[in-house]
Amino acid sequence: MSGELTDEMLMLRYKDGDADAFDNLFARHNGGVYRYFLRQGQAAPYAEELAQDVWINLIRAAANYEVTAKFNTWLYRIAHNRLIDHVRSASARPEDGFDELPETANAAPIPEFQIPERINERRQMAEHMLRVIAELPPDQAEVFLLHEEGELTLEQIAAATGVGRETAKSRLRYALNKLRTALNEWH
Amino acid sequence: MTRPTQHIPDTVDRYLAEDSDLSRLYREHPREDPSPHLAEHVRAAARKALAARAATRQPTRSWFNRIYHAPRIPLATVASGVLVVTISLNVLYEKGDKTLDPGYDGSWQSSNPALSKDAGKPEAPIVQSQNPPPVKPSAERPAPAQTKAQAKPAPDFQQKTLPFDLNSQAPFTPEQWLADIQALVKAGKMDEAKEELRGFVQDHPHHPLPDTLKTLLLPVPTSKPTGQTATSPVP
Repeated sequence: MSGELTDEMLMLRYKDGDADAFDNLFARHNGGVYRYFLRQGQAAPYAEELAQDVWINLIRAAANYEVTAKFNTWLYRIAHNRLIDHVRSASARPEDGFDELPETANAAPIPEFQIPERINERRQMAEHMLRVIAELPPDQAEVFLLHEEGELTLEQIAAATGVGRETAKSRLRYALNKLRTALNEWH
Repeated sequence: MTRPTQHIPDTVDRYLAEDSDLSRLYREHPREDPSPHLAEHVRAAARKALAARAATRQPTRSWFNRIYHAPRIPLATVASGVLVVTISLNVLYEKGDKTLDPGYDGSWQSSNPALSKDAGKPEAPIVQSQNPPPVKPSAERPAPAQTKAQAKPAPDFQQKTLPFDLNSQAPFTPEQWLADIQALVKAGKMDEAKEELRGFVQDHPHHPLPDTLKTLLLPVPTSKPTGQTATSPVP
């Protein structure tokens, strides 16, 4: 039943004491938030820790939650702020700086001989795409991931990142052009 | 010659509006998910926060709990007040304020020897103050028999038939007075009967007298009768 409810309804139910509503909400967005960090150059343990911090902050703010915006805009704004804090603290500690490209091996690798040629090609292209995303400037990678993982609109991306709509659109345009160029060159 | 400006479609709008090739390629990569440990930790934190909020929230009391846990002082005060009033009324009742009881018939005094003894004294404060003689003329009348009784002990019957018999709560009527006088006559105490009768005639000059008592008012012939008859009573 709670699966038919919107994110905002689930959050209000959790605010009123319905723990199952939170479970449903968490199941909807847990992976997206995790990959939002993972695809921006964070190693899996860091991405998991950052994702956990986002949810803990959301739980603490639940008592005062009011529907003033889309839930995913609020959620990814928390994630955006947490990532900025993490990057700033990592800059102060070079040994904890940005990690190397996320390992695509998080997904179980399939032996080459078991994959048809066409599928293998698409898979390699997707892996290359992830590497390109990780090499994008952080602002550009973020707006792309906010749309792909958080399903945010341009206006929501602007609100979550604290910039104007045109700035968000410009960042997204740069990200898309670089991705296309990199994929064309790879192909 | 200038070349016309080539219209470049807004790649961002197209990317956002439709399922672009970039989005499809992005989704073709297997999606990594966080470990189950993250889910367990976050869900536990969510439930813990709910429990903490519930603990700090003011508990809602049912109507029974509100009454049961209400301050006891008002109830105890009311109970004490009721007890004090009840005891006070009981004490007043036992002290003799029987007039509070509308069904009181006065029989309690005769059944109480101590009070009956005191009631024989006219100056008994309680009886005098609370039970005045109901018939005023009898109370104001200087009863000759009573003054005589003060000089000598009153006979037993007089104790019971005196007009100021305080044992009796019934009003002392002229008929009762006459009955007492007739009782004196029957007892052979003619002198006392005459004195009582004179007092009665003085107080009730127009009250008809029985024939048996009228003869008491006739003058006693001191000499031989000369045909003169007594026609007027002694005033």
